Amino acid sequence: MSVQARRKFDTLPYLLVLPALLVLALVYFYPIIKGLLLSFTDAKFVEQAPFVGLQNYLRMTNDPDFWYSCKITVIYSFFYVVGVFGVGLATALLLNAKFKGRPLARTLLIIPYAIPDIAAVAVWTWLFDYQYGVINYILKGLGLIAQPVQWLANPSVAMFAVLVVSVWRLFPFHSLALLSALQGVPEELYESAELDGATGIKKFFYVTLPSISGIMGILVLLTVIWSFQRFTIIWALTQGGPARATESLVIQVYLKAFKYYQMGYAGAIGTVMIIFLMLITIGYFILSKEDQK
Amino acid sequence: MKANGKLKVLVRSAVFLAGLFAITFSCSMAFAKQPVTIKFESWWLTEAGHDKWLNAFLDKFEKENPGIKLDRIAIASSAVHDKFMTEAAAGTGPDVLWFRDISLVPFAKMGFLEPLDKYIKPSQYKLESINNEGVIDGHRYALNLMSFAYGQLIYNKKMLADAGLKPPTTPEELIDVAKKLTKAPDQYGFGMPVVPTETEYFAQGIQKFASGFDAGISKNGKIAVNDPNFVKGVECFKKVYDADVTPKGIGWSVQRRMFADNKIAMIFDGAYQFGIIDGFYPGHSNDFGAVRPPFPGNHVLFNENFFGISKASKHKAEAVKFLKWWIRADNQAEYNMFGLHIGTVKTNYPKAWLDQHPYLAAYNDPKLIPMPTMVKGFEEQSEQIRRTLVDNVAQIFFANKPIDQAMNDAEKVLGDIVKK
Repeated sequence: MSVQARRKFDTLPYLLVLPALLVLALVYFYPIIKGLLLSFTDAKFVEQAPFVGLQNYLRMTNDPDFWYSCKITVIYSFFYVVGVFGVGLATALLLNAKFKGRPLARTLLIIPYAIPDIAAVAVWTWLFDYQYGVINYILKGLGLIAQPVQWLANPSVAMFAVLVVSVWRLFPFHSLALLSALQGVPEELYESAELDGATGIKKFFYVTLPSISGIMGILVLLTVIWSFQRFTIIWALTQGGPARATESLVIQVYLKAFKYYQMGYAGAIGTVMIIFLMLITIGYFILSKEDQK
Repeated sequence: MKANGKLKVLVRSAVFLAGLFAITFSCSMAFAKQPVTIKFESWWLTEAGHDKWLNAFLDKFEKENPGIKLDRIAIASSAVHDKFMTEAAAGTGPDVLWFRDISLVPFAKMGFLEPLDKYIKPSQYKLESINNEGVIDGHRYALNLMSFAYGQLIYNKKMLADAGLKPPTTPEELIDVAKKLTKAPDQYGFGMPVVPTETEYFAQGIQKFASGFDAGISKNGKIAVNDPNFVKGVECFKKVYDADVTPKGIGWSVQRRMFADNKIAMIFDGAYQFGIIDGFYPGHSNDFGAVRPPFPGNHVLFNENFFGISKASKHKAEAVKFLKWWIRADNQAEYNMFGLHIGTVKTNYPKAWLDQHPYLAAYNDPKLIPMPTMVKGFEEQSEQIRRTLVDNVAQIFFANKPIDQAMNDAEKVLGDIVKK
């Protein structure tokens, strides 16, 4: 095949991804651009509104509501990432071990991830129920609580409840991803470590973790991004309440845009979130390149 | 041969074109005979009891107006506001929309509603004064569709009679009667919406209790949630909640069903509740009675529903015809009598009919002073104000924040919101 012919042939992959790119442009890039444009206006919704320059961005700097939601988002993201990784890694290690019924356990593991958010919320709402909930029933039965807890109504425990559901929904994804990475760790490495006198814990820290660090890095990045975007579960469980205890940035964007008719300002908050997540992504890739060198 | 062939082609073409024309013409004639379909959206189409009656009412319209079909869109009440905003902005959505007072000013100011001035001449109708709320910046954008006292005390006659109790007339009696009727978790004395995720219902609960002490969220054009009477209302609400006479954590729609199932003895609700009970169990509404709420004040929370035509509607003429049909005196009488609503035009309720429905007397009390759910003077910000109020009251209910402190904080936060 001549060089010219090969060049012509090279356009095929681009043509093949073009439809997907067009769909992405329509459902991702257009709303982002629209949101960006709205952020420079005083729009109540999506109407033509006067241009206000950077006013919405300046407003953010001394808006206590914005900073409050930043704090909530950071708390949620931190515990979300820790929780998902903790449970995901523990179950992956468990499922990597050989035991009877492992195929069935692996299949069952995927269930929380396969259930739609709204269905999961419906189930958990009843599990958390003050009067009839199984969680209060068990805790009371075990003598751990004297009175039932209002999991979704008490501001001091609502975030915990939201995190439990969020972690429960996502950990199977992490578990499966980490399990596949664990299965790729060469057995020889463990054998060498054993010859060097490494115990179980040492093997985990010096062989297992370094071997799966690549996929863990990507997973951390994805989880942070997802945690910032998490809307359905929080909204369906608490709507950002009680008393704003779970009002993360994405919930505030929704409230400002659809309930308080401040689409321009909501666009500005959304744009800042996107820039922040882009910076995290760029930072991650720079760091991982440095690491590879 | 060649000329003959050309002729054949010409004849065939002519026959084909004639056939095509005939098909197109007959199709267009058939389509011309098709009735115009207008989309009508309402959450009342989802309410047991009311849906049956409303559908029969809409059937009547279609029968009288064969050229118009109604595409009835049943929608959850919590979704009406957001869904219509999105649809209207995209130039789609229902032609005729049923919405609550809280949406009225935002919808009108964002240009989503068609001004009705050129279609509806007020002089032709005996409009109820509540219709004045549909006039914004000098233009009429909506008509009152149904408004009703939302906070009358409805009670289960048998449950109270079996316990030898009478309907309460004071807040103290309410707690006392409710306590005597509570056998948790199987039976509760009183039902009320106190679930923070149900912001709308929680806000209504706060407003119901506050209105019982003649207090609203605003007073004389200012936010007044730390007004002593408003605080008394919140205090009373909290006392009832703390008395453990309500099914805590249970959503309002489930509580209403529990009420119909004789598992809750008393609730505050509108007269339409009797229709809903009959929707679940025909004739069961006779087992319930209604009295004025056990509060010292004469104000009562008023649920106001409006209807308007979407600016994006492609069938405005038909939508106007539908509106005009709805507000026709005979239809108004039929419609308003269903739940003793205040409708668009004045209706005189026949005495015999009122006598047949004794519970309606509580809703027909001339002493009652309506208090709308939207915040007077701050209509466009009502949603944000009510949500912020719920956030602050939730701290009293679930985080034991002192009431005075919480209401002073709420006053400050709400003051800042309305200043912006």
